[in-house]
Amino acid sequence: MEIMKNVVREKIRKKMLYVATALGILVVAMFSSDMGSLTIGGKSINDYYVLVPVLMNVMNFLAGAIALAVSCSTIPQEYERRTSHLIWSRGVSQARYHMDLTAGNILVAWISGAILYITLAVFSVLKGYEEIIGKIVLAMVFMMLYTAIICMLTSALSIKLPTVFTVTVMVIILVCGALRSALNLFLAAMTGPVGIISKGAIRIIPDLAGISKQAGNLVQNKPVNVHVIIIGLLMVWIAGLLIMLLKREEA
Amino acid sequence: MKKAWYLIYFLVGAGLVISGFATTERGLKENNREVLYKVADDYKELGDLGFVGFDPLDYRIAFSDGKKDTLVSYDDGKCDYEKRDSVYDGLAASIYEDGNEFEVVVPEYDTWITIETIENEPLSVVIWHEGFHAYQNTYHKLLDKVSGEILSETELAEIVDTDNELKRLYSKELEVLSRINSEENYGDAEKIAVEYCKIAAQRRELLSDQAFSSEKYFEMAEGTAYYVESKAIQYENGQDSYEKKYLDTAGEYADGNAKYYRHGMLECMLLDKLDPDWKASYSFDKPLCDLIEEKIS
Repeated sequence: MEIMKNVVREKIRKKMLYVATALGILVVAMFSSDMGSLTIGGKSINDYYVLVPVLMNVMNFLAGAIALAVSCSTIPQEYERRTSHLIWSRGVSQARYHMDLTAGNILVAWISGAILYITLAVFSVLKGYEEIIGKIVLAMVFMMLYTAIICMLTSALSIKLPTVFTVTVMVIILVCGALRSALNLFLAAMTGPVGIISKGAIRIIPDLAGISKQAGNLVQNKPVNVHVIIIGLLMVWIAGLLIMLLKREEA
Repeated sequence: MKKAWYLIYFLVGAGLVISGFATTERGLKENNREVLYKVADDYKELGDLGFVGFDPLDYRIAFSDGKKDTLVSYDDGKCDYEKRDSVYDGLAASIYEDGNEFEVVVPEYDTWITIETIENEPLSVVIWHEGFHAYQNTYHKLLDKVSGEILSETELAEIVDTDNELKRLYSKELEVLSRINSEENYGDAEKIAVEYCKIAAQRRELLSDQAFSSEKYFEMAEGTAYYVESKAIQYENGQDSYEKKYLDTAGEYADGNAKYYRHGMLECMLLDKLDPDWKASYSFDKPLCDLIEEKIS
């Protein structure tokens, strides 16, 4: 618990949360004030119930990017500072130590995501859509799953890989995961070995677009696909297992 | 304690794997369901488009993979479905008469997206088109009203597309009708209608009764459905896409049945100008050209 609190304190000191707040206000203000001229697929968006799912997609992606930024260096830095040795001497296992550091990162990512969502809720009220607030708050659960996947996968990779590789792999996962629906559409027309390999590769990337989509469905009173959520939780479980099993040799 | 923690962790994992399998889409896939929601959203804005009693989701929609159909009844966001053997082989977008009930049969979204990517034609719009055929046959018993045998597309093409004079006159009809969409002709609907009827009468002399009634049937059945489809595209994909896909090509002659789709759509557009309420009383009992003649006589 102490390790987790320390991670949160350190990230707050690094002003990560201020960045999240500024980003949130900027994005929501930009989209909300320009709502009439915003078009998707050639159609103008004039309804906040249509805009909010789009914004949730953007916000989840931003929260995911923050989660990646927060998580990529936490574990490597602990080893660089040799803080890890102080922890081992107190009898804490590597698995527990890595898990606590990851939990701290997740908490920071959730706070950042919550700030983004609160900004969205404030703008909804300002636009006269008070009734949507309850759904925005509920939809935060999907943001929590989204960021937890990114935090945990990043943390797991950062145990073994150099930070630059971790960031590269995770940026690919984040971008492809967030654009998975569009990639599926693009790949559907592809045939031959390249098509088969690409379709296989896209299947193992977490369906972040699907998770955001469920948040949008919740806002628009459409049924939520439980399967997407369960597979998201399974990703968290697999990443958790990796965090517990992977070990640093220098420890 | 440590062992207990790992045991709990593995039990949670096993639970997630089992739940994952249990919730795998075996019935109605989410992307197919999304297509129905899209049609329902369109309907909120477009309504019956003036055709009294028309709603594409009043009919059961079968998503087909060529082997199995997922037959869906949509009711205000709720989708009840059942599986059955496919009623058509391969990639089909059509209607199917099951007893006294007409159903819409379309490919699954996963199959259709290739076409959607190339043609920019969403599956929801196909449902609008085929749903309109289901409406024509359920509400207006269109097939029952057809007198005589309708020639197939190939048979009709052999007569029409090989005769230069027939082609020239039909091209002229399309050209005249498509003027209804050009700015300089706004307000000249009657003039266009008179000119069109004159060419149509001239061309009628060159056709057998069967070929003529077949053409008029396709213009009426497919042209009106194409008109409905174009309105759905206009709403879903915007004005640019609508103009590019429908208006810019409407006046062009095409071999096969495509020209009848365009011709019928243009006749609907002309009727919109001549009498904006024409659809409310139209019961698919006469060709669109006859209705145009009535409006100007």
